[in-house]
Amino acid sequence: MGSKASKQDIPKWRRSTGTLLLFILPFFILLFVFKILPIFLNFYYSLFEMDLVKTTGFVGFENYKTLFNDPHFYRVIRNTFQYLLYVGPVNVVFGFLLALLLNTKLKGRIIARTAVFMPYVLMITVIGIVWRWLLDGQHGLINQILGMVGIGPINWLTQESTAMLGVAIASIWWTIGYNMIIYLAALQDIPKDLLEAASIDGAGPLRKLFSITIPLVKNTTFFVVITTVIYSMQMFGQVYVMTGGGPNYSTLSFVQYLYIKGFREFKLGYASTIGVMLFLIILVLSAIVFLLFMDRDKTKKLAKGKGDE
Amino acid sequence: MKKLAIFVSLIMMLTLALAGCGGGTDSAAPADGSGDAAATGTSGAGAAAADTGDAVNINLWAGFTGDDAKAMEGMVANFNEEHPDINVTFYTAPWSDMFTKFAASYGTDAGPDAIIMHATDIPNFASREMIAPLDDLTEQLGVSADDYSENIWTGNGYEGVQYGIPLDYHPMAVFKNVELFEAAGLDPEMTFETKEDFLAAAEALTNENQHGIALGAEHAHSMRYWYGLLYQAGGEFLTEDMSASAFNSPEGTEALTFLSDLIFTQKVAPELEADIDRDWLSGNVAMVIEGPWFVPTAVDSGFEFTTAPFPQIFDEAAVWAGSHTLTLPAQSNGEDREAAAITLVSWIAENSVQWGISSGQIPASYTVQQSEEYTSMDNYKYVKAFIDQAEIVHYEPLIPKTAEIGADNQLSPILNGIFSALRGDQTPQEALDTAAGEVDSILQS
Repeated sequence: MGSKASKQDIPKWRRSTGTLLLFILPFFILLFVFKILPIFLNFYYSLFEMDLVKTTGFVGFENYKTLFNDPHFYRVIRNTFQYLLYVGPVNVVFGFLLALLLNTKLKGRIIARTAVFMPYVLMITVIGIVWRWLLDGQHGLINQILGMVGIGPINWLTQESTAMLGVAIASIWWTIGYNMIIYLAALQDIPKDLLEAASIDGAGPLRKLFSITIPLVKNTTFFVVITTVIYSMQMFGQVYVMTGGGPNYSTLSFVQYLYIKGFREFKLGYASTIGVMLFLIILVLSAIVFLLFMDRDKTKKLAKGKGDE
Repeated sequence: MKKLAIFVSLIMMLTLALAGCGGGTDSAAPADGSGDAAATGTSGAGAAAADTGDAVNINLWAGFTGDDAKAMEGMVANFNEEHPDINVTFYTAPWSDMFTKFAASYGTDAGPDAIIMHATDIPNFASREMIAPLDDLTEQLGVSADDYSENIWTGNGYEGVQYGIPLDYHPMAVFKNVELFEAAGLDPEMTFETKEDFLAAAEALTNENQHGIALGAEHAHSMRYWYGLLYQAGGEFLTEDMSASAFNSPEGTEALTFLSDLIFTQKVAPELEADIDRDWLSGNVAMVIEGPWFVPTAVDSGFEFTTAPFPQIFDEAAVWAGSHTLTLPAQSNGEDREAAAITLVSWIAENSVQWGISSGQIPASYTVQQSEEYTSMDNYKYVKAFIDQAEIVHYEPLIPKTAEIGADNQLSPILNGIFSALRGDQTPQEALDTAAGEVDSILQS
């Protein structure tokens, strides 16, 4: 009786779908105007030869044809994936390991957590300038330390073979704290009694890690992987400050290429085309990540269900 | 929970502290011409506007950052004080951002009434009819071509039409570390009149701890040095009608070979050098060739230095230079605003001594250069070397395509060709031949 009464207490207007929509409308208007619409407009613009002030004309897929014949385009794809390969696994795996470490009852762990997270709050220009100094070929701190153990000197940012690695090192230092914090929150959500029960049943730390912790933070891992992939594909500030895309285009990134074409050379139609390609690549990568993380059991059941019918 | 609170507050404190640092590091960003660093700002100049309701409001836009931005803000404040009937709002953002906004605001009345740009930007906007020809306005503006070096004045035009009033020009000069010069037994006041002069000095300044001269493997300045040397050797960058490259000539190769030899033959410049300014400021190289915008940084660093004009290596006298220029948009924002903008531009040109003193850039006007106020300033001894080069400056080609082939574009084929020669990946001849092919296809597209 009581519960029924409380349901009726809510006025009808507040229960209607219209009211619900009204509440989320402000968000969706902004999302539509600033995110969704530009994506479609971008595709539309990519079919034009656009200039700073005037659109010179509809060119169909001409921009795409130029892009597929542009050697820089393939270089940019290669570079961006190379960056993802350097940064992605380290950021996810070590982000998780750091979270594990800092989730234990260590002395001074609050300071350690802060220290790991701290770089993330800095502007990328600051990170870039600092790391340009640290990675300097002749007088950088990193090379001096490596020199003590007999390595080097390595001209990190001015030779083709190591420039992207240098950029990646700086980026990992910058962003790993973010992943660590996300994982830390997930680790603290794991019910203690599960771990205790496992201990009582005689499970060792490794067993607990693989059978309880990792499966339980799976959703977080999904989030971390997908954001890492997306941010890596959109990398720009680091190379802009640290290498300018060199040496020999070896660190030229997707977004930097778009930026130069659009805002230095004022080829806005062509820049939109690059944007569309980046959008498609991110879309495909996200779909792959999504499929990888989809609940296997559910997929199997789905497949079975269909098979039975 | 309590621990979480401590953690959060620690992060917040650090964020605040670091945000403070972040603001201060802007001026330490790499100076590529005039710095592309992050500072963005508007400075209205409230005082004058507040008490005069009927003042004309106009906008001045520029892409200045760091010292340049501060200097122009100061000038606008002074202008507003002197002109109660005009209220200028100064807006500055990194160049690309400002130009994008200029395009976006074009056709509305929210755009600029006067714009400061680089001389090499003029063709881009003149060819799109976004900035106004000034030939009929020079009298009204109170400026005359006679007050400027011919190279600099004509360098502010496009296809024979004047579009800009030169505010300043920035060639390059050698910054010398006095202590290292004296230690090597050289006169810190020396200038470099011949190739032999220069090489002898660079060799004397090179030892196991230091190199004679900075030469960045990835710095746009390396192309600017080469550009000056190309003209010194008697070469040309493009053909006379600007339709094809002309730099892979014996002269161009000679110029680039000179530079790569500094690294690989004479070994007076470091290999794969990353940061020329910092290497010079920390005494790892004895000389760096920089623009006048570097003077305030060098003075602030506190160590003793002198400047000399860009070295004379080959037969002709020549040096790369850029220039800031005052332009007016082609669209009309109404007579009142147009008149006010003309007053503003002519005032800035006339008072550019203030610009020269606080930004380090060299005022383009002879009258200003020779004024007592300018010649008696503290930094005059440093900028003298730049002023002396007014007659020999060479701008990058004044065509819209310079946006693609100039030193400011990281994808420029010639910029990357020079880098590849300085890395030792290609011989100077190979590098220039490859670049010439790519430049030609850009120019023909």
